[in-house]
Amino acid sequence: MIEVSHLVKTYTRGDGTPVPALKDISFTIGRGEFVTIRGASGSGKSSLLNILGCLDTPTSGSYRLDGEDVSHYSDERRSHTRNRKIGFVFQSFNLLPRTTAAENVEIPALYTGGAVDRGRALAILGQVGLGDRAEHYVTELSGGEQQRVAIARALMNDPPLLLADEPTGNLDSAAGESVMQLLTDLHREGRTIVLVTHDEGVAAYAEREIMIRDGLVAADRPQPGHAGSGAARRQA
Amino acid sequence: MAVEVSWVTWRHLAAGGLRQIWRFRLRSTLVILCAALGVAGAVTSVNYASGGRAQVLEKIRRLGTNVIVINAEQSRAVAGRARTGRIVTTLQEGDYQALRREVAAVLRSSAVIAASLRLKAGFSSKVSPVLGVEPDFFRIKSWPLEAGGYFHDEDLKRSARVALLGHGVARDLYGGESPVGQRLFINRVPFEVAGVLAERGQGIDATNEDQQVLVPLTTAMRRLLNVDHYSSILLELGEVGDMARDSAEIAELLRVRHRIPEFRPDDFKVGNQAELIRTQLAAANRLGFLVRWIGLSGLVVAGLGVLAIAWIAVRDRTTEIGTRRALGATAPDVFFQFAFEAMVLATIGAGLGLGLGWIASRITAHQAALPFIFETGNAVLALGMALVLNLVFASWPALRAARLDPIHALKHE
Ligand SMILES: Nc1ncnc2c1ncn2[C@@H]1O[C@H](COP(=O)(O)OP(=O)(O)OP(=O)(O)O)[C@@H](O)[C@H]1O
Ligand SMILES: [Mg+2]
Repeated sequence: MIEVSHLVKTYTRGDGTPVPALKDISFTIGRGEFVTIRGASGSGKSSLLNILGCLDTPTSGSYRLDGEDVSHYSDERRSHTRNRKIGFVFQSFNLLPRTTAAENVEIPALYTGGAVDRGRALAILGQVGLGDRAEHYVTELSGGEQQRVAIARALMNDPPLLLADEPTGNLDSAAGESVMQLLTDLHREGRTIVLVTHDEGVAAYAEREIMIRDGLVAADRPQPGHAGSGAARRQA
Repeated sequence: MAVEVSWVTWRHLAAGGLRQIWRFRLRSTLVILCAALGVAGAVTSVNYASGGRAQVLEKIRRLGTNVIVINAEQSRAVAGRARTGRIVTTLQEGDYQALRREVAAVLRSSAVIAASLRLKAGFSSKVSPVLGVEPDFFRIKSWPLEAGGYFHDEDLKRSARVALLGHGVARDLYGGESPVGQRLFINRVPFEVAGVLAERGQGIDATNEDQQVLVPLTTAMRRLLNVDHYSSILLELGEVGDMARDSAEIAELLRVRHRIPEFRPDDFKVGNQAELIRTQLAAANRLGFLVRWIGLSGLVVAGLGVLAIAWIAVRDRTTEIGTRRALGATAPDVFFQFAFEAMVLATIGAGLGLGLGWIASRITAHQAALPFIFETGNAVLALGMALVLNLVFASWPALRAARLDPIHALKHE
């Protein structure tokens, strides 16, 4: 699903000095895996996820998504790739204000160039346990509910890959647990999930963990609890 | 890869944009007001100027450009011994006949004798200018009736005691009553009111014609004033030729008849309205020019208001833009969304401004006592310019929105 090799990302500060965020990152993530990327603050997790999500392009190195080298795609092609292949879940939910849950879920469908299937949006909301909240404005929902709406939105175009940057960062532990449970369920259905966190507890839900330190892969290991199952899935 | 545009997507975005406009009602109202006031201001000021111009043109139409007025005047040398206020008697019947005979282009004419006399009707009384004129006077002046009828040549032959009242005099003396057929005393001589003339406002020569009383020329000369000279002579020329040449011809004729030596000045004044009209028209045109620029700058200011609000909207919605981009919106999609929202509001505003401008034009025309003019061409022009300006001004923030780096936009909070 994901193949990155020798990925480098160097930002340039306002005064021109280069900031190396990713120095040399290589790994492969198979279809159906549930991987967490963990590391200290400033280690480069978000920078990596932005590239994996086709929001950003690497300074050098290659990134193959679904066998296609997307590292040099134009802005427009990256938009289309994001729209069809990737679902995003953000730390602060990023739901549109003054808009209902169902309307938020429909947003990715607006950009497909096809019809917007309201029925599908409602079905997904039901799947994340919010079938009765579809017509609620997002500000009327709790944080955990909002994040589940955001996950439903990420699923609208049925993308194979879900990317989440600290999805539980703004939630209390109970709400965080329910969100993680939802992501685990989605993983069981065969969705590939890459999740950025610095929380070990969150990382425990995944089957594999990639540790990042100073823009480099410090460790890449299976999670104890899930050892074997991930490998089995990769085989399939 | 060429930028490809999905109309289906844009239709969805347009529908979403309309919802968005409703949800951000306050901001939407501000944009609409901005655009509306710009258009309304432009339309109103241009119409106001057009009204002023139309009024000048109307005055010119009333006293056509082809009318020459000859006023009796004391030559300066004579004036020296005439300070006691002796009436100027230089324009005589013979002069009038000679002018009508010799000046080929004369189509209509009227001699005029004028004096300020006391009027009395019932218990009302006032002093007003009374003019003795010939029937053609009203046609030369294009002065219609409001009530009753004109007097005719027979009335002049009989020196009939009939009078036509200006609109103001009629109101002052008779109030709400109809004066037609009523009795009027002019210097204690009884007259019958034959009619009331239509309201005129101020004439191009700044006299208030609504305060005048008009009686047959012979009646005024024989029964009221007992004189055999005229105050002035009005000549309407048939074809619009060279007014300056005709004026010179008339002056020469009168100098010869009055036996004025080479070195003495005229004892009359030949005037035509051309000069007066030229200056008034020039002033009206200057005002129109100025007002067009004011209207245009009003449109620009309104456009800047639209720009500012759209700019703030883009800033407030940066996270939304980042989110939409992450979910698959292309840069053109974002541009379209923001430009569409701003244009819908600007268009509603401009349309509203057209209506407002119509109402405001009515009100200003009424208050300034100008004719109400709504120039559709100018209004459409203002509307079109407003839309183009707003398109430009709304495109700028929309372009900024489209160019936002999705990552930066997502980090924004
Ligand atoms: N646009 C940018 N311009 C310059 N430097 C940047 C930019 N974005 C990130 N960086 C730098 O790159 C490094 C990695 O940042 P990144 O956001 O990937 O860290 P992170 O691992 O996600 O941290 P956190 O856990 O705090 O979110 C940091 O040193 C950061 O200052
Ligand atoms: Mg981060």
